[in-house]
Amino acid sequence: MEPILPRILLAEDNEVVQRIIIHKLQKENFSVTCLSTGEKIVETVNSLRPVLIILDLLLPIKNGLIVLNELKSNPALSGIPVIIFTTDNNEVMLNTAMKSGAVDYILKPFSPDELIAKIKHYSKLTPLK
Amino acid sequence: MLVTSYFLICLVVEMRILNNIRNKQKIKFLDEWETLLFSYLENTGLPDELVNKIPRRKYKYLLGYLGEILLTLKGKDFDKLAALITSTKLSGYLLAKLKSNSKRNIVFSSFFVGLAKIEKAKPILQMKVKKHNDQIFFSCSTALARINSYESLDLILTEFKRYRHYGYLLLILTEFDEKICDKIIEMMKTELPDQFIVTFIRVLRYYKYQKGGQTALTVLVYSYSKEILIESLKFIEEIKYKNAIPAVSKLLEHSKPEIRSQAIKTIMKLDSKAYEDKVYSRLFDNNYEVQYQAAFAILNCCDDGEEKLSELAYDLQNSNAAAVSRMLISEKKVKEG
Amino acid sequence: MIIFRYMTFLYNYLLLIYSIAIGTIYLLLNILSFKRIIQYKQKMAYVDLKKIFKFQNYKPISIIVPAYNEENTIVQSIKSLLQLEYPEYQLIIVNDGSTDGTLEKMFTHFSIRQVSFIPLYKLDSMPVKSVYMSSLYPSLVVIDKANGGKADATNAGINIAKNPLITVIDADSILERDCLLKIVRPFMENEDIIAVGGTIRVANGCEIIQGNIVKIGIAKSWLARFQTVEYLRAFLFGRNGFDVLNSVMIISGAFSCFSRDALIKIGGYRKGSIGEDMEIIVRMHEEFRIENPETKITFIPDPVCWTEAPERLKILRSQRIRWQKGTIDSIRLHLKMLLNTKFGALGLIAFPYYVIFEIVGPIIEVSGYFVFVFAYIFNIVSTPFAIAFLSVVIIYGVVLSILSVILEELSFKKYPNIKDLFILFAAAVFENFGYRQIIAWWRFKATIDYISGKRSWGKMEKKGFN
Repeated sequence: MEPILPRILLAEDNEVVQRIIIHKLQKENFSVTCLSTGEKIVETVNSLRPVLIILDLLLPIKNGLIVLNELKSNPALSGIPVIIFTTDNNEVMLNTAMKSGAVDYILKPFSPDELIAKIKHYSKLTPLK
Repeated sequence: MLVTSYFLICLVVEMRILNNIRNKQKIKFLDEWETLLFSYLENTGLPDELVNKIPRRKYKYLLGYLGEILLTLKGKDFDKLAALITSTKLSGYLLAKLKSNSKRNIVFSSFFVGLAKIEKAKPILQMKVKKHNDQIFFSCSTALARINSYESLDLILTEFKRYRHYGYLLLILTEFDEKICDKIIEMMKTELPDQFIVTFIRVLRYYKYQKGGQTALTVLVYSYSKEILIESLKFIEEIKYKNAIPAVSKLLEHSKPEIRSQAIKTIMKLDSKAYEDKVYSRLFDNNYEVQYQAAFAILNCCDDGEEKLSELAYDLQNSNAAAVSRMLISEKKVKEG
Repeated sequence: MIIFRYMTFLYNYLLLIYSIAIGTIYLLLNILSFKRIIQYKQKMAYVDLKKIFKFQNYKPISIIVPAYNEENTIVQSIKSLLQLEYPEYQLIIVNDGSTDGTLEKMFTHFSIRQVSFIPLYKLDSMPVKSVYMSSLYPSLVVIDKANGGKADATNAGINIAKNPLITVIDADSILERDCLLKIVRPFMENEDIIAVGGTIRVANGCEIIQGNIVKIGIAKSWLARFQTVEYLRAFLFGRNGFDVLNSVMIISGAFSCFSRDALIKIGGYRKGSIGEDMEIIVRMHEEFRIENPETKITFIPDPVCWTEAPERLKILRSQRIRWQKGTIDSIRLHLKMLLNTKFGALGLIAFPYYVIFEIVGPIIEVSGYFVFVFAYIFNIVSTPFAIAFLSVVIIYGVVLSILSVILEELSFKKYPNIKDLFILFAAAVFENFGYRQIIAWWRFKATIDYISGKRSWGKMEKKGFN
């Protein structure tokens, strides 16, 4: 029987970045679901219950900050660690996100190794189903 | 005339179709070569091996992909991907395009040589910077800045005078690394046009360059330009340069209200306790913005700020100050929910 | 009798000349603005607008949204306006005495609480009942006031706006996320700019999710399709063309940005004006350019705002009648600028253009058609002439519309489906066989009505955008 791989949700609208992260995560034995807009993140998180969420703040339709607030105000979902993934341009938004309950952040331009290390670290903190 | 329209329509449709084909090719390329690129990243293969497998006519797709990726990555993966440009035929390909006379080729290749930091490109870039074209000037200067070619700084600043778009100057200067701040401090010891000074201070702000405090203070004391004073104040506030406190406090009574406003913000960040009273007196300023700034500062920086404002809130003698106080207190209540 | 025949014959020639003239002018405007668009695109390709966040050298903005009976869409509008990309901005919703649940919806969704406020300025407006601030989103402010119309509501918003730049939009405008970043650039590059307009496109047929344009598409109804081509011709090219001559005479209220100081100096919007968005721009030219000839009002060619075009004839009709009356009103109020050399190209080219082609134009066109038919029936004009006449009038129009579509294809925000491109070309052609004439007829009636004193407004309802 195939082992169930831990699932990561990646919310990022840049295709090139998406592909690199998906590739690296799959190599580390994670399964990845990727969304390019903020619209369906909360419902996807609800149905898939990933062990970790990587969240870009500037997503089309609904931005990451609002999605983060929705996730953290939902008791069933607020325990899932969220890593903010964004450019270093907007300090205010980043600070707000960290205050809203994100566990960590990674700035773009980013080092994929650093990202993977953080993901591995924080995903261990969520008990697997 | 109808014939021309018909012809133009066909042209446009053809362009659209060609564009579609190009996009499909781009995706096809990626699908084919992506696995190769990823395995190159993971293993210890040489960059040459990979690039040699790619036909020359597909270089533009490879570069397109690399361009996007290099902008978003750093670290080990960045180095390996940059090596695909610097240590292979791609380097020659780009340098050849850079030497050409076509604006499109120059702008295209300067982007990559800058990103991948191809040192060999420096002399060519320095030559192109002198061309009388703003796009070429901008893209080549940016490339030189990314390569940290400090020896080109004077050239860039001289040629820049032709264009005078100071927003672009800021973009170029911030592509250099932090060492640009030292150069800027040196340059600010000489006479410079106001707009240059404003831009230079903005670069210092961008890097939050602590050693720039003294320079900003000098500017603060000797400059008359509103824009320069405001930039310096903001910089001093951001690096918390306490030596400037006396100079800043003098500006609390400057003739221009924008400067008084900014001085309030700055002084409260530097030493709120000592200047509480001076800022409080600004509540009775004749300019609304200054009053608002003073009230905001009192409310947020002083322990008894809310009490002080509440006292003022119904002062019939000073109706403006009272109204501002009432407004800020009610806003604070709403924010606290 | 012979004189009569002669006059009729002459009149036909007049119409011919008129059509050639207007066509040529539009052609020139198209070419001028096309150059400008290419320059703009080249510039934007290498400027990273978002660095403004890091450079911290921005000017904060206050966005004013006059709202009347928008209960169906206000919540979604506000939610998407709160997500615009800009370092610091204030969002002011002015509830202009709505009779539906607009205000209640804001209470429920945004937790607004009353605040004490002081109006900074005293622009003319109906009394403000209260001012509210959202405890969830401190940058959201709501003004509740007695009904007074859009100009009035905007003035009330300006009175409490605290930022140096003011953006005025319609409650149902759909904005692109980076619209603020784009529209402030002219202000940052040039101190003499007092107002900037954005290019408006037709949202009908686009896929819209939660107040964001997700996919660009062409409308299903031909009426909307004709309007799409019309907007391309007028906005993307017509107004941009005038911008090259510093003669922009109107900025659409759907998305416009002003320097607050400039607005205050001229006393805000004029109460009771029919075309308040044009009137204020003309007035700004009049009052500022005498003091400082370098004053500029400009346009950004980027389509940053999408709006819904009416799909029912009745509503389109009242919209076009209102626009026509607004144009005449604005020109009439500032007639002294006509042919006035103090205003450069504005007085010498743009003003006469508006008077001849936008005000008198519909009269010439409509009466011209009648005269032409009459003349043809009574053999005052020969068949070859008739054919030539029709060819010029119609074909010039067709070519112009097609040119607009082509230029759109070469510039921004294209329709991704190639099928849509063909539909646009088709619309460009058919627009001239009926649609154009109906619009001209309505404008003709509006002009006559205005001259004879009927200057009322007429209602305009809109569909929601979700």
